[in-house]
Amino acid sequence: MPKITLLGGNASPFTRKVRIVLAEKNIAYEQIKAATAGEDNPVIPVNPLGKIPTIIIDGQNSLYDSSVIAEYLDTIAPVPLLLPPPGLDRVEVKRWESLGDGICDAGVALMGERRRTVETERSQEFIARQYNKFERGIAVAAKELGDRQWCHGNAFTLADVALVTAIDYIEFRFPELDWRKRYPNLDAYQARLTKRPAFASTLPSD
Amino acid sequence: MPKLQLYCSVLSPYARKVRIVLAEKQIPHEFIEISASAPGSPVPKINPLGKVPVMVVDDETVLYDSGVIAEYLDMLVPAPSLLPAGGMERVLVRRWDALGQGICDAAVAIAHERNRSVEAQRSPELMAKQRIKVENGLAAADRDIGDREWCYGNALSLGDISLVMAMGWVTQRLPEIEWHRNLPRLAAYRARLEERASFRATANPNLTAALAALK
Repeated sequence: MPKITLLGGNASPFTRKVRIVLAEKNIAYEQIKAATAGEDNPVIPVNPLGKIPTIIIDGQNSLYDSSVIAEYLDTIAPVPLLLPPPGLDRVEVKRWESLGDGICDAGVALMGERRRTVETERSQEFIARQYNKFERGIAVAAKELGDRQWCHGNAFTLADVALVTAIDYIEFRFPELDWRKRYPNLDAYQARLTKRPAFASTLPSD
Repeated sequence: MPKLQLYCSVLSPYARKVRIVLAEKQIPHEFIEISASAPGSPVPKINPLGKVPVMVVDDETVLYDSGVIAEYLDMLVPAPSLLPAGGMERVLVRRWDALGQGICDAAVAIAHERNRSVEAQRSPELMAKQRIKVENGLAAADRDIGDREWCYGNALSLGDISLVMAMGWVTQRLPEIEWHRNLPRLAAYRARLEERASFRATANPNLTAALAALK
């Protein structure tokens, strides 16, 4: 097994996705909680975009973004398999992943807006647009999940990793949305999945 | 062949990526020109994230984002193949795709910031940070492609398509980032790819004029 170094902190939802995949597959790794906000972003030498998560393989090659890393980890450690082989099933799992990632993108954008140090630079219109993405994203996820046990098919996949990551991130940063009461099926699904050690051991934190 | 409806704007770089894939594979489809953000736009009802491109398959299955649509199209019509079948090769092409996508995301963030209707809400600090991403991303592409014809392997892949869509958009929308002066080798790579029929057919009219003026 190659030596994996993960750059990314525990508040990042995209880093959490990768941590869950690593834990599900029992892959040992070293985590460096790189801070990307400063002038000397330490990620840039290994990822020109300066973003987390980035992984370094055997101290040499780097990979990004979270979706590419997940695909790589599924290749080197296929058990449990999180992505079906290329075909329609794989596309559907990835569409779920896109939904989860898109909800997280909206959340990260919103946090960026809140953190603008110059208060007058915050845009209420922008904030409202991101909240709309959450609302519609969660509503569609709840509708499509229905009463099923997993997002796609009869097994745990990357789709579930991405969806739980997204709803946990909302709960972490935007508890005021209170989605649990409105979507009891998502609530039950999240509660069940959070019992998995890979999820319980990676809950978001500052 | 399933019925394919592509909702997108000709101005969207991500939509261009999908349109190039459709053109390379000569896949028949219905093209629905639409703005995602215009008042009353149907896009948020189709894609909860309110983004284009979004593809509807057989009036039923909704696919997003551009990477997922590209992967679907590559499965539907395997020739010419734009993604290796699996393994590390596929991962590496997808990493190139992520680089192109990331450069474009940073460029789009700058444009969004500039377009904020309230001038005081535009953050120079954010724009500067995103610009560094664009510049670093392009420099890395230049370094890693070197003098090769393609970013990966011996044929066009989704990696090349993503990179060129990003470079095209940066050139057109952020002309002050004069990357082609600093990276002539990468600029030549882009110019060669923009000559392909699928790229020409999907360049927006302004870009076509800009390229013609270069000759």
